[in-house]
Amino acid sequence: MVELAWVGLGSALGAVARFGLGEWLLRSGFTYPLATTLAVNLSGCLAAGALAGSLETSGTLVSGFLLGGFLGSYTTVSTFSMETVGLWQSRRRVAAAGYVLVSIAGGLLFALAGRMVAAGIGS
Amino acid sequence: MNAGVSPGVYAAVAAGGAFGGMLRVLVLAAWAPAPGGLPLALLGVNAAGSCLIGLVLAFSEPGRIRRLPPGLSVGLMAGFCGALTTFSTFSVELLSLEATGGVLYLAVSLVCWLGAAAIGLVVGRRINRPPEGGCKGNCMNRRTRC
Repeated sequence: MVELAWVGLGSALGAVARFGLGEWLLRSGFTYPLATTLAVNLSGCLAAGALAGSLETSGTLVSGFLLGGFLGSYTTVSTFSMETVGLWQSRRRVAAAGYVLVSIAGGLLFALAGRMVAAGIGS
Repeated sequence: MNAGVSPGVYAAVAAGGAFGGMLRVLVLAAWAPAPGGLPLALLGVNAAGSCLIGLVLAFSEPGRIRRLPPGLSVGLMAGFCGALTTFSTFSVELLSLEATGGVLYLAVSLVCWLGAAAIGLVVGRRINRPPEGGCKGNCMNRRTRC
């Protein structure tokens, strides 16, 4: 029960961080919306890759708050899907395919990079 | 330009995010994959959130019969759906799968996410049509003529 509350708190902060970053970029005159989702997803993958290995053994509260809560909610699939469908429907099909490719390949690379950085620090 | 959003909108995103994230963690804990199996519960939450965001978007667009209040719509889309779905756990899980399982999981995930979002949007727009003939009256179903 306590663990779930920490997940909820982390999730609220993660969602606000993602939304806030998008609003901040918009106010700065940066109006390319795909970039927000890409930025949160790739940075979130980097952090999750770095933390996943070390946090699994460090107790469920911290892992629930940071991994399942904050990073889980900071990164998003729903907006990614909606944006891809939007590009496809407006007949920007190459852009849609490119967005999917960059997101997936980038997510894997950043998660891998995070894992390697954590392994380097840990050794 | 953008005048910034009210604290109430941030509160809606935080509340939606808390519920979405807790629901995801509960679902993932209840349906943990068997050793060596594919993380299907993760696929389920990601597809469900993609479908729901499509539906909510169809009820948030201008020029349609019904429109959710902006705070509710942002709370559901950026908050609940955004937090119910997760790209970081997906990428970390994908890295831990062996090659064949990983490629299969990636392909099935993409089809389910994008298909679910498209279905949600199309179904939502079918339910929530633009008013016929530009009427301002009570157009709650498509047979209504104003």
